Formats: sequence, structure tokens, C-alpha cells
Amino acid sequence: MNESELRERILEVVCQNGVDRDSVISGQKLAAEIDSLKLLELIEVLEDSLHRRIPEAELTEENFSSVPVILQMANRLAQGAN
Amino acid sequence: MDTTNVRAIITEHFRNALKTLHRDGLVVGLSGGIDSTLSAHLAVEALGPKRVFGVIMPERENSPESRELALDLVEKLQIDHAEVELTKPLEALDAYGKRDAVVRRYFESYSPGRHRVGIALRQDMTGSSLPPLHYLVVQDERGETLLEERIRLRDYPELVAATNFKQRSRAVQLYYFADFHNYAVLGTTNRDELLLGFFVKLGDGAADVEGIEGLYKSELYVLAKAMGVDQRVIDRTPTTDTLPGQKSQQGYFYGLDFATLDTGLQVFEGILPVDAAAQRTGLTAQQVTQLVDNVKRRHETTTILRASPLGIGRDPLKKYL
Repeated sequence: MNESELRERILEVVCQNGVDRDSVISGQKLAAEIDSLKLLELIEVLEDSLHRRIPEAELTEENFSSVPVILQMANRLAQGAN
Repeated sequence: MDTTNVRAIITEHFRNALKTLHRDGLVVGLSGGIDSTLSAHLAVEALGPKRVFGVIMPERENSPESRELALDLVEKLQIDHAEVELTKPLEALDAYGKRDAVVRRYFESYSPGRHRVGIALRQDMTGSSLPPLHYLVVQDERGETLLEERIRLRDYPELVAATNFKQRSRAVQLYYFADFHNYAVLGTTNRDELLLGFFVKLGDGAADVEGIEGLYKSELYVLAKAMGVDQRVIDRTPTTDTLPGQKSQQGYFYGLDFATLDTGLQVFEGILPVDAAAQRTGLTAQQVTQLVDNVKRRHETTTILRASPLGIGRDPLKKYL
């Protein structure tokens, strides 16, 4: 999955149930707007894409604050960094 | 809290509710915990012991202490009761089997005889907006943790669904006795559970009359003391008693002490300003606001639990044409 596909998958997960796509794209408080199941779903999308578990220490408010930040984390983890 | 007044309001409510519902008394499930014990005390104060019926429903994974405390309560209150063992019905529903199948995906050698399983919730309620994540905890017989692993998306709902058989099986029994005696079922959901959706719809949330849903958990302790509730019940660690390795509600479900949580709930309900809550809890105003935001999300995402079936309306459809 390339970055653009991953971005689309993230938006698909977050924007279920009528959540406005534009506000998600421009928002900086994604962590506050998702529930536990959405967070789990996002983690699984990332883990499927990365073919590895996301370390517990990465599961923070900061790392899930916006779509670009999630993608940055994914890039970092894809390069082998924790 | 003016406990005399609170008792008067709740007991009068019970009497009025039975009149409205055309039922003769109240059935209450007794777990040996503070919620059900206090509810039974209130019911007896309202109606007298002859119009209150207790149901004790042990199953193989309950703490034996739950049954002992419930039996002591029916003796103390002098109420009629029935004891229904739920292990066989739960086995017939494959409740244990369905749950254990999920657990074995994480801990292959899991054996209910040798291990205890629980779900832990991790969330920094006052410091982060990240929603909670759920972890499966497997312990040995001595309570030593052998595994604590994040539950995967496909497994979490399956685990919850299997565990919810327990509360729903209890509700089935309560309604049997309610119908049998022409009584109504008394719910034991408190305000924390109601607001945070910490109950099972059509399980422990199934009731005809509610008594303590207006009281925060910390207030229950004050009222329980005033009503002479058994000190062992007051001192007992609150637990759902649905998973053998489940820790307390306080530690595992909220991650906060009840006094702090209840203060946050009162801000959420608009009856306490943030500044006053900060002063009361020792938290900063920012931490209180974060707590309230987390409560708000939890409340919203558990709407279905509190909702009645959503119909188009109560009137015949032709009225909407």
C-alpha cells in the first residue's frame, strides 16, 4: 500500500457514519473525534500496511492527532524506527 | 448529601412506580455488591420485606464471596429469595466456549481451570484525548499476569458479545420471577454506569424501575453507610464479576478513583463548574476539561445502550404521511 492508498484507507475508516471528510483532512484533533473501535481499526490499517505491530509507545494522542501525522508515523515505522 | 431526603425520594418513587406499573412488589438481583445491596435495602424500606424478592445467580466463575454476601443480605432483610445456578444455561449458550476461543487466539494454552482472564482498559482520562484501548489479561491462579496484549479489532466485539451472555442470562431469570410474582424488576444501575454506558443493554440494564441511577458511585457509599449496609459490602472492591480475572471497575474501567470521576461527571452534567471541580480534585482546569471531553465521547458512543428502540414515532404511520 503506497502513501496515497494508506491515506485513503485512513479517511475511509474515520469518515464512516457520515463524518465530514473535509473537516477530518483539515482537523488537528483527530484523536479526540474517534472512538475506541475506530482507533483499533486505524491501528489495524496501519499494521496491515506496515506488516508489523505498532509499538505501544507509539499509540499516543500526538501520533493520532491528524491524518498527515499518522502518515508520518507510518513512514517512520516503515523505515524501521520506533 | 442529605441521606434522609434521598431515601424519602427513592422510596416514594418505588411505591409510585409500582402503582403506575400495576405490579405488587420488586424483584432484585443480588450480587453481593454495593449497588444491588443498597437497592435491596431501599426496596425493603419502601415496601417492607414481604414485597421484595431477591434472586441470587451464581455461576462457576463468580467469586464465592458474592453468593455469601447475597445470602447474608436476604437473611438480614428477611426477604424471600431464590438461588439460580447459571453455569448450565451459560454452557448451553456456549458463553464460556465462545469467549475462550477468543482468548486462545492470544494465549494458546489457556485453560479456564488454571487461568483467569480479564479485560483491561488503558486510557489517560485526564491527560489525553486518545480513546481507550482494550487489553486481554491472562493470569495464573495466584493472580500473576502471564499475558497482557492489545485486543485486535475483530476479537474485541466477539469477546464482549460472549461475555454479555452473563448479564443477559441474569435478566432472563429476574423477569421469570417478576412475572411469576406479578412484581417489577428493580434495576441497580448507578449514575456512573448510566452516563458511561457501563452496563449491558437487556442485561443488567433491563429493568422496570430504577432506584439509584440518580446517584454517583461515591454517593452510594455515603447512602450505604447511612442505611446500615454490611461493612464488608462497603469495603469490597467493586467489580462486574463477569470475568474471573477482572479487576475492579474503578481501576480497570475508568482508571480513576470514584471521587475524581464523579466530579468530572458532575461537570459533564452541568452541575459543577470546571474551576470548582479542579479545586475539589486537585487537577488543573485543563485536566478537568480533558476528563469531561473523554466522558462526553464515552457518553455519546454508548448512546445505543440508553436508547429505546428507535421507531418512526409512537403514532400510527398514517399520521406521518
